[in-house]
Amino acid sequence: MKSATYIERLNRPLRTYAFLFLAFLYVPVLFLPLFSFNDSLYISFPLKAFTTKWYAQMFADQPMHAALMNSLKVGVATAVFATILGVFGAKAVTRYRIPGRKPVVFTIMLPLVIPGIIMGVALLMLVSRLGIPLSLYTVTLGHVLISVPFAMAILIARFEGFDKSMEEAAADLGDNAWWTFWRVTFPIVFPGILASLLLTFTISFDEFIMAFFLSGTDPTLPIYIWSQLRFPKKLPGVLALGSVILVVSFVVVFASQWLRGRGAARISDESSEP
Amino acid sequence: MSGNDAFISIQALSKHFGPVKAVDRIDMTIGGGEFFSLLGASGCGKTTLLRMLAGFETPTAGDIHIDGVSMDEVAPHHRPTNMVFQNYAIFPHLDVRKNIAYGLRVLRLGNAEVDRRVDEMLEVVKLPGFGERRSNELSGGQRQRVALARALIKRPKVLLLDEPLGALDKKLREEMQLELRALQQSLGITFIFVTHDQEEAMTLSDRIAVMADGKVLQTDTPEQLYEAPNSREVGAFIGTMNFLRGRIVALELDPETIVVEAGAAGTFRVAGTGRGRTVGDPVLVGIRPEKLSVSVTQPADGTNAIQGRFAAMSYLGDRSHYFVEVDGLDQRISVASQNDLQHLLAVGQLDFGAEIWLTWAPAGAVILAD
Ligand SMILES: Nc1ncnc2c1ncn2[C@@H]1O[C@H](COP(=O)(O)OP(=O)(O)OP(=O)(O)O)[C@@H](O)[C@H]1O
Ligand SMILES: [Mg+2]
Repeated sequence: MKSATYIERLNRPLRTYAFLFLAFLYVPVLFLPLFSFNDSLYISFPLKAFTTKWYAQMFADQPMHAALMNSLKVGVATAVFATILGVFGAKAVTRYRIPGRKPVVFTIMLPLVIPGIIMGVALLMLVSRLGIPLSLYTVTLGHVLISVPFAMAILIARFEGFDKSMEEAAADLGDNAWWTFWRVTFPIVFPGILASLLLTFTISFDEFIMAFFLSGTDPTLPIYIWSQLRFPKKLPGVLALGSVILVVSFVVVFASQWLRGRGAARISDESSEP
Repeated sequence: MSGNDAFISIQALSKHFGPVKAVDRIDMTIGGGEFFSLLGASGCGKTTLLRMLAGFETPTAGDIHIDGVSMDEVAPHHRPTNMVFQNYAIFPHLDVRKNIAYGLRVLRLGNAEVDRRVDEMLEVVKLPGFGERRSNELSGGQRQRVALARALIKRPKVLLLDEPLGALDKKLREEMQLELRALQQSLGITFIFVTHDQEEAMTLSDRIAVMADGKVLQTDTPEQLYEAPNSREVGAFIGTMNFLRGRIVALELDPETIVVEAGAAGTFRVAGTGRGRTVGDPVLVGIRPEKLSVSVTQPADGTNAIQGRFAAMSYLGDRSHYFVEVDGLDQRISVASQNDLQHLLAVGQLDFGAEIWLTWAPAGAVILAD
């Protein structure tokens, strides 16, 4: 459309700013794929020849595969647990008249502002005191702890955005609490659940500090990458891996946006009622 | 009233939210098949009472019986009531058909039977062909019909409606009022209808409970509420009423009449029983605007007449409202007159400040509990 109202009119300084901002965000990231195809151990210009050997090296790297699998397992488990906890927490906070609602929410949200290193040390102390061996389970525990606030934040917004008379209507029409949840609450908050799963998975997947303190002999991917950086020979392989992760992340983000768009079109007016 | 006279019985029902007594010791009986309205200003506890009937609020004290069964321990999904919510609460993730069929799950009917019932309901609420739409593709009036169909398909004994017409424009509102009334009469379901619009309550209801501050002021037929309100609040809430404060000076028999002396308004007669009253009692007399007639000459008979000055008027086509100032009364008296030929010939064009007389029949006034 060509109609340019005052607000829609092109704004040159704003465009320049937007361009610089995007460049600042993405240029460093783009070096990753660039050098991953460069036939040199060292990251420096000028570029040498084109090669895919780093990718071949990466795909042959068995310990890396193991680390990737570890991260996927931890990420999926974290996403599922954090989101389930988030759903029940958000429902409790928004639906029931619980005494001291504010302090409860505050306590749940607190891990957002506690530095990861402190949380990590604290959890490590606790876990070793209890005599629990460090493993992927302890990493998952730590990740769930730091992910729940994010899941809650997303889901509280979703729960608050829909009218509780929807649930009352379901009860009024003969559904008990269980059926009401599955037939009304769940479908309406579903886009929020999806968003929460994706976000908490992402948080877990690239989390370093907690994993550093809490993992045992099985490293997660960030831990593995970090350990490889000590060997200059391994660096290009890490770049290749980084590029792959970058592409996969883009695909996931676009997919989730697309899903959200479809979800929004379907459930667009649930909060349009007063 | 048809059927069972105490189909729903409410005893000493209260609901407190902290210091707020949203519903305060209400007693009420509602007959089977009755169209019963709860009428009152915003915040008087109508929704709270309705929500207690539906089971969404637990009473602080008191009992509700529906069809002889105490609702004390009965969860909302087991009550013989269904509700049309104030904002309709149409499920946004389901289309109209699925919304209407929602409550049939518990009946475990076959698909064909579900389809048949939904089609029938779509017919009843005049929405055939709308089955595949979603709530955001419906107008306010259509949503209201979907909400109604969704509740009615359950064939409830009692339908609870919380200001279902509040969001509609005047014309649609009047149409829906007629449809609701027709539907209620053909189905024979008990309707409990919440509204703050007195005209709507009058048009629709068999009986109306007028509420204020969590209490019921009066429960009666629309006609009784209008003609014989029991208090100043009810008189003022239902339509307009002029109030005169006075003292009983005589009680007459045959016909039973109370003679009231009301200071600036003079001495006049009110038809009504003197039982339980004695000469000297202070009384409050209410007169509806249309019970007063305007006259430019002093009436021959000296009683039941007030002299005043014509102060303002609003012309409404078929009728006019006059506002008359009377010395010694702090409030203007309001008078409603039909603009028929007779009236126009008798009164003609009035100048502001003109001296006029207001007269009324003894049966045109009521004594109110004050
Ligand atoms: N959940 C609640 N917590 C605290 N106070 C409440 C609650 N629900 C209602 N109230 C109070 O109870 C009183 C009655 O409310 P209610 O909603 O029953 O009024 P209403 O007659 O339906 O009003 P309206 O015509 O505006 O809908 C009000 O003073 C209201 O503020
Ligand atoms: Mg209300």
